[in-house]
Amino acid sequence: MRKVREEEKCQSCPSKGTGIFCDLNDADLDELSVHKVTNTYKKGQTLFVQGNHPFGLYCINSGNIKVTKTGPDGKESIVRVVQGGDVLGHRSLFTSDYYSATATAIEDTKVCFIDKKFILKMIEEKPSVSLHVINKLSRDMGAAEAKLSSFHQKNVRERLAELLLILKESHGKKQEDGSTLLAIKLTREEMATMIGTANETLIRFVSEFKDEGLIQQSGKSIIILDEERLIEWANLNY
Amino acid sequence: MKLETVMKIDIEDKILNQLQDRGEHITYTAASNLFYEGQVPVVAYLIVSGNIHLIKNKKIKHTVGPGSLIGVKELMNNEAVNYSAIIMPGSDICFLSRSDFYEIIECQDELSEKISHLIAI
Repeated sequence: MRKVREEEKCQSCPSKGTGIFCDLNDADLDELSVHKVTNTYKKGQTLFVQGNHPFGLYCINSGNIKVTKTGPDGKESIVRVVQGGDVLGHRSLFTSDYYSATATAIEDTKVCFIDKKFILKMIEEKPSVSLHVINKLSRDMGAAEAKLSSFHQKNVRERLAELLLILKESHGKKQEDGSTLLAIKLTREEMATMIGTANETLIRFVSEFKDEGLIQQSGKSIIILDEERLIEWANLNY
Repeated sequence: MKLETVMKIDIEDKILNQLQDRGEHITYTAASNLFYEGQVPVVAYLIVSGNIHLIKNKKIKHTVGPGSLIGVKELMNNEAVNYSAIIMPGSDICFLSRSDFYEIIECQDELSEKISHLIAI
């Protein structure tokens, strides 16, 4: 078997501690490092395409990836955004279905691929991996349920406020002045598909949020200035 | 190494059948990127029917057809490919993962010898 360079080993992963393999011991991580394939995907490159056959599991090392579904009219909507420590392709892997969505890098992203045979062996032999996968699946399901109810019960303004709060949790970086920078660059079109509205409507509400002092823009990035009011505007009931 | 040399690994029928038995088969209904230039392929691809275009600098440099094995050397040696590969609609592919090749090599039979030779080229 091939020798793995130190920087390629799972022990050197920048997302160490947040992934599904992080509870494995060094010997198991070394075996995993031998089996995995690490690649960097440039912005816009796809990891897999909706309708294709799954080869294995993708474990995100660093960067952001959007998961999109394309409708019969060719319209693309973002289902979720994944980041370092997340996994992709696990659902299709277990159901043996074709990929139900397309995964595209929204910035230069480092991703490890683990083939189907090896990951299924790991899941059978290592309970910690299975539990982490179940945990990820449960969280995904919770997020999907929350999104569904949000689409039914909230208006666009509330959905936008909620999206900004979700992005703050996943990609927020606290600034010295108390504001929070969202360390993810999404286009207006991408944000619009995430809350199920038209581009023009989203732009109008973003302007309103800026005028009210809830958010501020720095280039393509969004800075959250007033989280408390954003929570109010999101009409969160928990 | 030249693109043609890296890519065009034509295999004898006997070995081809043995590899096909080991891997999983899929038929691509739409054109799809298998891998991009500068990446390590995530699996190796054995073309059963149809074609794969090998692309460099946005130009098709080579087209490989049935009986060719793509990406095995790069996959097993963890080497980046210097071309992108796009599969054409209707192509039937058998894919083999790193785990499949490790299993083949462990068997130490004729197939294992052939694969070890391919990896070492």
